[in-house]
Amino acid sequence: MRSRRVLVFGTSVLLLAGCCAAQSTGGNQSYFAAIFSDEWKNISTGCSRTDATGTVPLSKYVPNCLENFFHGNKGIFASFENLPPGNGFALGAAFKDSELNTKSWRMNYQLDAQGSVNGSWTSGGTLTMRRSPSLDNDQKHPKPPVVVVHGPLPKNLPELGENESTLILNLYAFHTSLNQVTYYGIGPDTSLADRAYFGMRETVTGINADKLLKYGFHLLGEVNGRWPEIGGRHGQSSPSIEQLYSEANTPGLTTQPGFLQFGEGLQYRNHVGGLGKDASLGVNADLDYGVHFQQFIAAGNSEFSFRRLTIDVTNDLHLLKKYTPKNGSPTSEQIGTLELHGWLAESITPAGHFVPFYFQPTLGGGDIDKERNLASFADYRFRAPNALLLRAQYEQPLPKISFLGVVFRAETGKVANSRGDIDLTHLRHSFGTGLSLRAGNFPYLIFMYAWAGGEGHHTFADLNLSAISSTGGSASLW
Amino acid sequence: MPPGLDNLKHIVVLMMENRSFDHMLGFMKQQVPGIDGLNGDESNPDTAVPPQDALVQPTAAAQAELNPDPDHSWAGTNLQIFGNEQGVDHGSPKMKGFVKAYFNKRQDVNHSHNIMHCFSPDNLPVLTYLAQQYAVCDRWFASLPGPTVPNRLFAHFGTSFSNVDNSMKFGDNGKSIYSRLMNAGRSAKIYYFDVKSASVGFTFLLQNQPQTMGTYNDFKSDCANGLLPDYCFVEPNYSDHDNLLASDQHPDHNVIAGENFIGDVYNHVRQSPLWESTLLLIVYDEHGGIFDHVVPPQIAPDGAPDPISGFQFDRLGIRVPAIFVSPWIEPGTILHTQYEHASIPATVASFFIADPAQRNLTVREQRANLFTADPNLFTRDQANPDSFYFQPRQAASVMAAMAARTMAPTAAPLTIAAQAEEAPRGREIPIPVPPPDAYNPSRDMNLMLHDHVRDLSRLAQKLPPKLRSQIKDVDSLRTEQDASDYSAKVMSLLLAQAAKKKKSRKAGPSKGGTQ
Repeated sequence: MRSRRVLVFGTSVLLLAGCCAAQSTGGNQSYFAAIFSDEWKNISTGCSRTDATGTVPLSKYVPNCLENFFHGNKGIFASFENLPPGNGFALGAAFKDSELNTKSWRMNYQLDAQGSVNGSWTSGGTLTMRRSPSLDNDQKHPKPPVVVVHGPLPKNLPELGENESTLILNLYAFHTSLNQVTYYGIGPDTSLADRAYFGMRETVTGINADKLLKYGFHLLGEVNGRWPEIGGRHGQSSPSIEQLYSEANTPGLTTQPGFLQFGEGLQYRNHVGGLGKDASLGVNADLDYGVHFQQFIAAGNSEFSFRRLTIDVTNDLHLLKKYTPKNGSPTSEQIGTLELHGWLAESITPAGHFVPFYFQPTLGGGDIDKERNLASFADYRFRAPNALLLRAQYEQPLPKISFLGVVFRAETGKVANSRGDIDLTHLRHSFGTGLSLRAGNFPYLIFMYAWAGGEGHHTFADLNLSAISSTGGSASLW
Repeated sequence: MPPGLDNLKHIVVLMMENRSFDHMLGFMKQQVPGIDGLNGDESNPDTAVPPQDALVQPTAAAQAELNPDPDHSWAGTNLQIFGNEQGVDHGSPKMKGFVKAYFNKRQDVNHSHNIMHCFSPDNLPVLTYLAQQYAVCDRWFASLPGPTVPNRLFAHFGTSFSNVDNSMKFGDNGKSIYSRLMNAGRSAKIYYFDVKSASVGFTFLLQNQPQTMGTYNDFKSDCANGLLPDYCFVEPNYSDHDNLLASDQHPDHNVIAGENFIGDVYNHVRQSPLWESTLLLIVYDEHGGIFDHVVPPQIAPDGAPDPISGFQFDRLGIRVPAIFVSPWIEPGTILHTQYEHASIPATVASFFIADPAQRNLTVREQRANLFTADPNLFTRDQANPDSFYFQPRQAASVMAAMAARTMAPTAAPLTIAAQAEEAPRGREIPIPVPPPDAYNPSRDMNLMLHDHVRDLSRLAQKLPPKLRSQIKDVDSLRTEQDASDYSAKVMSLLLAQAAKKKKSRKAGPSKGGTQ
């Protein structure tokens, strides 16, 4: 069974790599040879202690040399990833090529592998294809994508600046091996004393699509194959899962079938608001609402097929006020951000079927997707087929020292064994406060102390790598 | 003072990425002969043996042509200008190393010719139309022959702090144009695209973030609500992320996405109640390793050379597109004044900070030309009431189709232009298509080419008969393409023959000695 999973994963990654490599160059040097020779030249130059003028100062040498291992859009680079809670920070290497384009598609791909000190690791590849506009070079009938219109400007300007791709396809194949995931049982009334650990390995390969509709709506679709595998975790401060739990109270503990998973969704993203001309206060709102429906079909006669409905609502409200300098023109300034977030997951099972415990959503600390929910509780603290979370967070820069800010967070939520139990009673609460490190008037690093809920407190740091990650950010191209 | 300057209260700079003047606007010369653009016969030798001439072509694609990213480092740019990475002028023809430098990136002769591909004006309707309707400058140079960060630092600080590479600048120490303006009681802001498209200003503007940093959404609402600061700098989207395409036009990012972004910035400035008091400058940070035919000028060194390369900052980088937009500019204005990125903080500081002692101009800023002082810029006595805007063709088409269906459902389909004309909002004007004969290789040779090929023919008579036989009869040449092919062939044979003679002269004495 295991060898088959390895075969599926390996084949998927090879197919992905082959698909990426298929672009022929028709030239004197192969495409990939050019990538590596260019990278080697950059490393040789960047890591040379001497140049035409003599010895390179250490203050220049170190950053120049390091830059070659982290900066760039083609070749092999150092990679890093924060694994799900309990498994540490993983380091490794990635091969990426972010500009494998055709006239009408923008294609980025990455193959990577990272491991952490507790032996957990992840490896895989993704190919992202974005549909993009192309020029029509027919000189007789040119059709540039933008036209010029003479006349008064309409009140609502046509949208030109976002450049949303009309279609995105993601092909992926990855394997994750986590040596330690915490388990407290299923349902809202579990106890801290019932803590156990398990190891989880999963191979996933598939494709998802995002089709841009009108007015900020996106149609989403996905299909993938999943091959989970659960094992014990021994020699730790708490027992291994099979020592405390059984199939009767933890469905999926003894056998894990393969799954075919389909998904459909509708997403709405928009930006509204602003500071009015004569107003002294205003709001810029980023809205992100999604409804997703997934079908997990277990292989063979397994009793683990189920469906899941997820509703995710996020409102980022950037609070504005008018800034009027002593001698200059007034403008807006963003004084703080209020985030209002709601999340609901409901599972639907046919008669005689169960949601396997490893596919059930969790609340408390961080979850398997590294989302931090009910931060004052332990990681993966509450687990059940259904879950609800409501969160409000406010972040504000400090006056004079705006590279620092203060953060306040309040969360409430619950898990439930049945959908009928999802309501606003018996909610668990968590409160947090902390400091943020800011750049571009945005918090990149948040240190927070979270408490309440009657189970102690947690201190943690959340790092936002979105602008400097190895797979994105502007730094890759300059 | 011209009325345009009297009214000026806001300067907006949009800085795009990595495209040369000739690449984006060179072929506009076919429509606007006054600009220093392309004739169509500019070329670079390639690395084939014997070398072939790679001609400029108006065939650049929106993407998938410039991958890998062309070399635009200090050394690479020197190779493109002087033919050597040290930037030493040996007296040989300049601006002839672009194809060679691009060959070095992929070792592919055919692919290296892409560096000579330029955009046809009709494929860049936004940039071309703004250049035609306002002012285009054909003498704006990058501040140094090198990459993005030091060139952008010149736009923010008036210096790159002696750097020619992409080392980031940390901290501000009151030296950026934003801090200088804030200290003088003025307002200034960088509008970066979004959090996932980082700004070079992230690392130096750590103070006063609420006042000096905003996103592109803030820019749009500030435009609409008349809340633009005195000075602002707009940054495009630097990366493909989520559903968004990068719009900075950095190779190999989609050029149309950048066109759309430029059009969007213009639309919002044009719609703003501050339109008549705003000057919009659209400029590129550097040439990105792409061909331009104008040799960058020498300038006086600023006394702070780069410690690694030894570069004295005594010459500018390669020419980039620059377009000024304001209702006080006469349509069709062409500026030949020399500008560079230090002109931006120099102009902004000089215009908005009354006390010269508070301006803190760098050496380069003190020497830079100020565009507010350009006598050819704000030449109108009245603000131009003309109004136009850009919109996606698809939207125009849908809107017009709806109008057409409402009017006469059974009528034959109208052209898009005719449909838009019927639309209530405005009239679509023709896309700036070059004249039919603007690029026509099958056109008959003109007199100059006729004489030129005959001169070459006389030179070719000196070639050995075996080589001469490879050349067409000069009297059989008819078209410009014939002339171009003939010229390339004769020149390659002459150069190869000259090299052979030189080699044999060097080898001569020892050969003679053995005899």
